[in-house]
Amino acid sequence: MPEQTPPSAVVVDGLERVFGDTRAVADVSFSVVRGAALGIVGESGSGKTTVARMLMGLLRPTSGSIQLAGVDRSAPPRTEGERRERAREIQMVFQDPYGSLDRRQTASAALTEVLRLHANLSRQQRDERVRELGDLVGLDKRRLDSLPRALSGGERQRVAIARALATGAPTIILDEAVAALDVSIQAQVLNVLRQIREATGVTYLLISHDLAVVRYLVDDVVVMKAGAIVERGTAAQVLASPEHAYTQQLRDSVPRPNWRPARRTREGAA
Amino acid sequence: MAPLLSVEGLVVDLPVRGPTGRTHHRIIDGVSFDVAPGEAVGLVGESGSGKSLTLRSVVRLLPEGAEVRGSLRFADADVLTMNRKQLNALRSSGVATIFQDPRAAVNPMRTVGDFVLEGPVRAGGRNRDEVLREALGLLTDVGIDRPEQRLRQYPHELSGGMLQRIVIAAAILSRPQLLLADEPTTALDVTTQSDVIAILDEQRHERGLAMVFVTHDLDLAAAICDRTCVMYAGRIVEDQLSSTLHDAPQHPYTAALVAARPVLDIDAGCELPVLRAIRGRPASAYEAPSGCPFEPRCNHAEPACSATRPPEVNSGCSRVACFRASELRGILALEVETHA
Repeated sequence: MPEQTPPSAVVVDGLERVFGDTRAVADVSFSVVRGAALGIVGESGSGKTTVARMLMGLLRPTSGSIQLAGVDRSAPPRTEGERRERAREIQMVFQDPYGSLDRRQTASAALTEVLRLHANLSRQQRDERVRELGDLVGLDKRRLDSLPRALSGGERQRVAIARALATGAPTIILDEAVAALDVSIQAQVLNVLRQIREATGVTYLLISHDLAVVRYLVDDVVVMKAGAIVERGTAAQVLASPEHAYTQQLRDSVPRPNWRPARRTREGAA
Repeated sequence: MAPLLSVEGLVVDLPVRGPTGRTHHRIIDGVSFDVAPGEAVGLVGESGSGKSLTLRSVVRLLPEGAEVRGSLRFADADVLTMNRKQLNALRSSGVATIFQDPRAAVNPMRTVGDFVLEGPVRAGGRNRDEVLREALGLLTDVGIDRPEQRLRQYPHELSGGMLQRIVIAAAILSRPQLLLADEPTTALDVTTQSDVIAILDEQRHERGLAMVFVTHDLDLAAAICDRTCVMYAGRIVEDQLSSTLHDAPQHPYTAALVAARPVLDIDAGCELPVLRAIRGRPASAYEAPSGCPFEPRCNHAEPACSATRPPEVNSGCSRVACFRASELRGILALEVETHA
């Protein structure tokens, strides 16, 4: 085929991580092309957060390799310079925006600090960029000049997203990033995340247990169980007609009208 | 049938320390609902809606200095005038309560077994061996393997999910008539959540356990409760049969909540719609305007909506507090259509 494959943002190959006797991540491979969005679905202990921590360079893989934008990043950064470099390649947004923001720092001060560290801009250019980032995530001047405590949960999460974008990192890991938000606020943030991807071509890795959120935000999905990938495919296909029994079980566990959940234990005992 | 629990005109003010000294904030602003024996009622709402505090009021688990008005009756006894001894009896035998964080319910210095067995043994009627046998069966039912060993362990040795299932088993073990559950499955994995819901469901059908279930998840409430009360700014804005709430909401807020959630079942190849976010943020009772509390965020508001507070209007099995409810019915059904 003459069509060129777009360059990869993230390539993970044969990734493994062992803690003592436990294999938290076992032979995990996936790749995400630039500008795409991959969902990692699984429950506690499935290894999804361990994968994210290795991608961020917070944890050394026992074996396997990680490439970010074509460059080998299997090992965690060792020096301050390397850490800064990694921060410009990949960023993470967590579930609790309150815990990841400095409570004495306004949103614009937080963004300015990141820009000073990661971008070579004049003061005027920096102010301009803070405004741009605010526009992108839907925070006006008044909100940007507020301390975290004066912001709602959704607004704080927008600050965290803007801060990740400020580093210029082309890839962002969203670790349950909308899970703690009120329904009406969650919809605002989900729309913002979609708009940002369209406007900037950023790559998302979405870690989530909420299948409807996954369906809304990503193209492809991998399902993890006990450290390994058990199913993969497009979000539309995997979530609509799962083939693996575990994915099926996750699907069946989503509350819906006339939902009569069956107990796994009683089935086993019968 | 006489209601098991009857809440009428509940108003709760909580003390806050402001710049001008101590003052009170209204959190619950006139909540009324009944729970029949064996019935499950969902209280659904966002932050600040007062759903958790409503639940806590039922067993008077309120912060120091809270001011409560209205009427709270359980099995025809007036809860608000109970003395400490009567309250203890209410909490240990009639009404069991479970919260989102199981670590807040257990004593970290004592074994899980002490926690599980103490209440039912103290309540009398059964000896320790009898209760132990029942406890082991229940723990197996909620998916706890090696239950004998778990009972010898301390809370910090167990995961949150496992501890929550133990707390729920302990609540059921005391054979309450009413279970108050405040986001009991929010911190659990979805497959564990469905186990827990299945167990609560069995208890309801086998023993006629009544339940008040507080959650932010409208789908979850609708799936497991007979009736769902949607709360906003310390009031119930809609009270409806769960079976019809999702497809035929009567309050614009309920419809907006349904429409704001992304949908799981969308055909491949279909363009994903932009979610209908609700503008602004949820308000608490003390910061809500004097008219309809939802008016500033409502797409259907008219000038009259901000003038006075809409009364709760009963019709058949439902109750709604919206001036425009009857004329909006068809429009709201259309708004949630893609979510059916």
